[in-house]
Parts: sequence; structure tokens; C-alpha cells
Amino acid sequence: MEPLNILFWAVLGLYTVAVALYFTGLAVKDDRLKKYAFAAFVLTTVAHIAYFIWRWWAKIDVLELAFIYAMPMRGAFEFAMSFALVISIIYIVLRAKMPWLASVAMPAALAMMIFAATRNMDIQYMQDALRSPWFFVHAGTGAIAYAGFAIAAVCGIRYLVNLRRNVDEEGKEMLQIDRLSYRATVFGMLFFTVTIISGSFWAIDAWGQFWVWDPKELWSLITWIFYAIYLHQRLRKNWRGRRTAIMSIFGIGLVLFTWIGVNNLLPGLHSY
Amino acid sequence: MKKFLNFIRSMKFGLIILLIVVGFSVVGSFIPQTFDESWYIENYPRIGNFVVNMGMHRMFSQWYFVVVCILLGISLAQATISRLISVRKLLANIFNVPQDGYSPQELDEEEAAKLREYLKEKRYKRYDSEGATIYFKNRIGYFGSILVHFSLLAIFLFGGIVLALTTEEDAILLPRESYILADGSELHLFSFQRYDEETGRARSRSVIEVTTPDGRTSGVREITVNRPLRFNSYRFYQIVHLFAGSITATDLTTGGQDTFYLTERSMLADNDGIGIWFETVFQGFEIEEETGRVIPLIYDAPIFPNPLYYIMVIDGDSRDSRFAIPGSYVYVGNLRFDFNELINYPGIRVTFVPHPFPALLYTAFGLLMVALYLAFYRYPSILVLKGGRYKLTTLKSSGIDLEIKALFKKDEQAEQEAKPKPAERELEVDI
Repeated sequence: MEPLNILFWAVLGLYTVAVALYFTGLAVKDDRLKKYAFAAFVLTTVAHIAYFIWRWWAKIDVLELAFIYAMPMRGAFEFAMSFALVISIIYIVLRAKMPWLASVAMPAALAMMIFAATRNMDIQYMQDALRSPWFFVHAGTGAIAYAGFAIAAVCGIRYLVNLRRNVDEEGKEMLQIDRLSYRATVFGMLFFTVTIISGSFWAIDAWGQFWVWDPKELWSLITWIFYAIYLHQRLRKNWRGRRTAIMSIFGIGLVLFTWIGVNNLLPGLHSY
Repeated sequence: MKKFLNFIRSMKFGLIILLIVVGFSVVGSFIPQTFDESWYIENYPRIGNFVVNMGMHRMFSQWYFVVVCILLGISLAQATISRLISVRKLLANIFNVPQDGYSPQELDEEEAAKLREYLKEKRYKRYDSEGATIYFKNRIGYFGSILVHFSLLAIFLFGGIVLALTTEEDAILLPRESYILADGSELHLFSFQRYDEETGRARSRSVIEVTTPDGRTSGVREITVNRPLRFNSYRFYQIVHLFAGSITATDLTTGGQDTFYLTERSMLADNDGIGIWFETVFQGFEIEEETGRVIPLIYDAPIFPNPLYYIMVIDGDSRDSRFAIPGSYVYVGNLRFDFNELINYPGIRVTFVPHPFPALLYTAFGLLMVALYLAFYRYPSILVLKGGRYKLTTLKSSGIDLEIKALFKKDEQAEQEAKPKPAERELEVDI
């Protein structure tokens, strides 16, 4: 096995350990275990960053690519791996304010890594069409946007779980969850807009049209419209709480279909 | 009529239109939008005719989709204008002290001081008027929502124009050939390379020059995938690479020599009609072990691992069909034909997008990003503090109301703690 792959499996193992520690701590109500879990998670994220950089560097070396083209976000494996990394970083940044985020962000990152592990992890040849500076912006902002929507969705799940436990909707925690979900959606929406716009700039350079009605484009448009409606209703009609929590969860379903479903079910110009 | 106009102006109308767009997008993603009509009839035996008759194979250029887009444009324009009117009114009255809508509880000195401190920390500007203090912040944020709708309208408009006016043609030409465009401009291909000389990796590259009818020229430029040439509202793209047969003919009498690149059936002969007929190049071949017969192969992919020329030697009345591999040759009369390795040649896509619409579209994209930032990160808020009561005007989603409530929360808690417990209160009542 190549050293790069060994590091990937090590990172995946570390994620598993961190998540197992956290949920054991949760089950036996031991705060010390949860602290160890967080420490393990930080260590895992550092190792994950190292893996990300190493893979980037390896692509430059193996494929003789320019730095900007070699960003490890080509194909399902690299995108899922990067997606997991962004979720981990967002969790670590927000953890001080929202410690409960661990119960959803940690397993979400692990799930993404497990999904990545099922994909082809070889460094794959980059077609001419992918060798564009726009790739860096388009795929990079896409991963960040998806992570934002994922955080919003996990907040939505947490909100609904708390509702079932009869937690006060006007209480501090619920307000905080609702607000984080909203802010994560706004964050995701901004980056997703950049993803679509940069994609259209790239399309003009590569295909001669800024919009070609490709299935990926259409499902991105559907996802964008969905989140636009969400934000519109929140701003104008003050939709919040249960309703927006459900929308966030539905939204991540759309995001996952746009990312994975379209690639596998609806071949088009984005099928690399 | 009034009811209808009100409906057109309503948010519900905009949302319905958006949902219709979503519906079209779902259908359009499952029905490919790229093939000829016959493809749909062959591949969807049951619904193929219906798909074609309804224009669902070109759904996004059909009249019904255009109507939906126009309605969406009307909705966006209406939303922009109505927001502009209300924001103008709001900004015109921003320094007028409202008469009602204040907090029911009067703040004590300590709470009022906390509030002032909070507003100062958050960098609110202040304005004193009619015995009240008006604190305000991020007035530019009022334009966020207007600009979001306006920029979306502009993207719709200019995007639609760009899509509608863009023309596209594919120029397939061999090195040293020229192609005349619709306006008379000439595209000349100097050379094409499929592989990078330094790395040996595939990297299609054409060297071209474009000259307009009035003599203006782009200069000799290289185009590769992702790096088109922009010239005179045209864009030239390196899109595909193709293969052509290459045969060198030598006149043994004069020593004259010429190389021909062949993409279609052709006759290469001298004045007496003696020469060869080029039929095609097969992608590969295998030799049958028992008979030694050559079996040509055709693949789905555009690859030529073992190219095989299929020709007919014509010498007077004799016709002799033959195969030839690159590197071989044949003598016919006074001519020698050498079969060379295949050459690559490019398919160059030429698009024409009239100025200045692409630039306007890019501007609209930029405006949308600014607008989203203003709408979601520059929440406008106005707080009027008058006689110990305050009135806050802001978006609920900004969370500012919660932050201000939180300022007084500790005090409320302390008050709760200071209050006698229910049992004690009951006791007091009893007494």
C-alpha cells in the first residue's frame, strides 16, 4: 500500500476513535471522555490537513500539474475527503460556542470519510478540460458551500431531536441552534453562488456557453432556488424553528443528490 | 383585474413561478437536451414521439419556458420596484421620531446605560431629535434586498440575451487550411499538436490566425482547451481532436513530392487516371490465424491503436483493393505512395456573442455577490431611545432583538431570584 493511502486509512481510523470516544462519553456521561474525544478529533483534523496537503503535492508531482490545478477536489473520493475536512474545521471553530455540535459534526465527518473510502482513491489523470484556474474556485467554493449546508442540516436534526425531548423552543440553546442553522445556510448560499458563477465563467472558457442546461447545472439551480426560497421566507415571513429545520434537512438531501446522485444517474458534461 | 394584478405583485406569484422553473429543471435533467429528434424516438419507444412533439428535447428554448422566464422577470422587476419605494420612504423618515411601538417596560438608568454602551460597542451612529436619540447602523443594508432582486433580473435578462444571440459553428480544418466565417472573416490553422513536446502528455494545441474582411488580424495565436482566442466578438475554442490519413505521393519521373491529409474518400492519381483511391482508415486490425486474412476493426472510442489504410490501386482498367499499414508503400505506374502515420487535426468551435452583453452579464454576477453580502451581512437597524423606552426596527433574522433582550436578561434573573418564592408569597397573602 502506498504511504499516501496508509495516511488516509490512519486518518479514517483516528476519526473512528474520536467518534467512538465521544459517544462512549455521552453514553456513560463522562465529560473527561468527551474532552479526550475532542483532543483526538483535533489531532485527526491535523492529520487530515497533512493528508490533504500531501495529496495536493503528490498530484503536482505525479501528474506534473501546476499548483492551482492540483487541488485535491477531482472526483468523488477527493471531494468527499475535502468535504469531511471542511466540516471538521468548521466544528473545531464553532465548538467553544456550541459544544453540542460534536454529536452531529463528528459523525458527519466520519460518514464522509467512509464514503470517500468506498471510492477510487488513486490519483487520477486530469483531462485537459479540468486544467483551469476556475477549477480551484469552482470546486473549492463548492466544498465549502456543501459543508455550510451540512452544518445547517445537522443543526436542523438537533433542533427536531430537542423538540421531541420537549426542550423549550424559546430557550437559549434552541435559539442558538436555529440561528446557527440560518447563518450556516447564508454562508453556504454565498459560497454556492460563487460556485455557480465561477462555473459559468469556466463554461464560457471551456464549452463556449456560460450555461448549457447540463443535469449538474440544472440540479445546482434547483438547490440554489430551494435555499433562496428558504432565506426569502426566513427574512420576509420570519420562518424559523421547526419549519426551517425541516427545510435544512431536505436541503442537504438536494445537495447530496446534486453532488452524488447526478454524477451517477444523470450523465452529462460534468461526468468526469 | 385588480385582483389579478395584486396576485402578480404578490410573493406567492414569485414562489409559484420559481417552483415551475424547478419543475422544468427536474424534467430537463432527466431528458437529455443534446440529441437529434430520432435519438429520442429510438431510445424512448413509448414516449419518444411525445417528447419530440412537446419540444421537451429542447425544453429550455420552447415558448412555454420562455413565457415562464418572462413571468419570473416581471415578478423580479415588481419585487425590485416595490422594495425600492418602501426603502425610499423608510430612509426619508429615518430621523423622524416614531410615536408608538416602544417597549412596554421602561428601562431604568442602569439598563439604559447598558443599552447605550452596547450600541456604542456595535458602532451605531447617533442622532438626537425631538427629545429622543436615534441610533442607526448599516443603512446601506436596506439596498441589499433591492439589489439581490435587481441583479437576478439583470442576470436573467443579459443571460437570456447572451444565450439567444450566441451562434456556434464547428470548423474542422487540417493544418494550412482556412475556414471562412459567416461575416467573411478567415480562420487559418497553421498547426495542431496533440501531445506536449516536453512532457509527452496529451494536450491539444492549435496555432491559428483570424483575419477580418477589412484586414484586421488577431495575430498568430495558440489556443488550447480552456484558453480560447477572443477576437472581434468571436471566440475560438480548441474542442476536439480528430484523425486523418496521411499519404505522400512521389512522382518517380520528376522527383516531385506532395503529402495529402485525407479525411474522406479521395482519388490520388496522375493525369492519366493512374493512382490510388483512398477509401478509409480502420482503427485497428487482427490477422486470422488459420487463413492469414486481415480483419479490420472499428472501436467506439476515437482511438487508432493499429491504423489500417483501405485503398484501391487503379492502373488502367485494373482495380485492386488493398490494405496498407503506416510505413508501407505501393508503386502505381510512375507514382510511389507512402502510407504515413495518421495525423491529428482539430475541431475548432467558433462562437459569436455580440458585445456588450457578456460584459453586462459579468457585471450582474458581481452585483449579485455584493447584493447578497449586503442583504445577509449588513443588517440595517434603527433603535430609537425615548424617555426610557426603546423601539427597534430591524430584520428578525438579524438576531439584534435577541442580543438586546439578552442585555437585560441577567437583571431579570436577579429580579426573579430577589422575588419571594411562591410559597412565601402565598403566605404573605394569607397574612
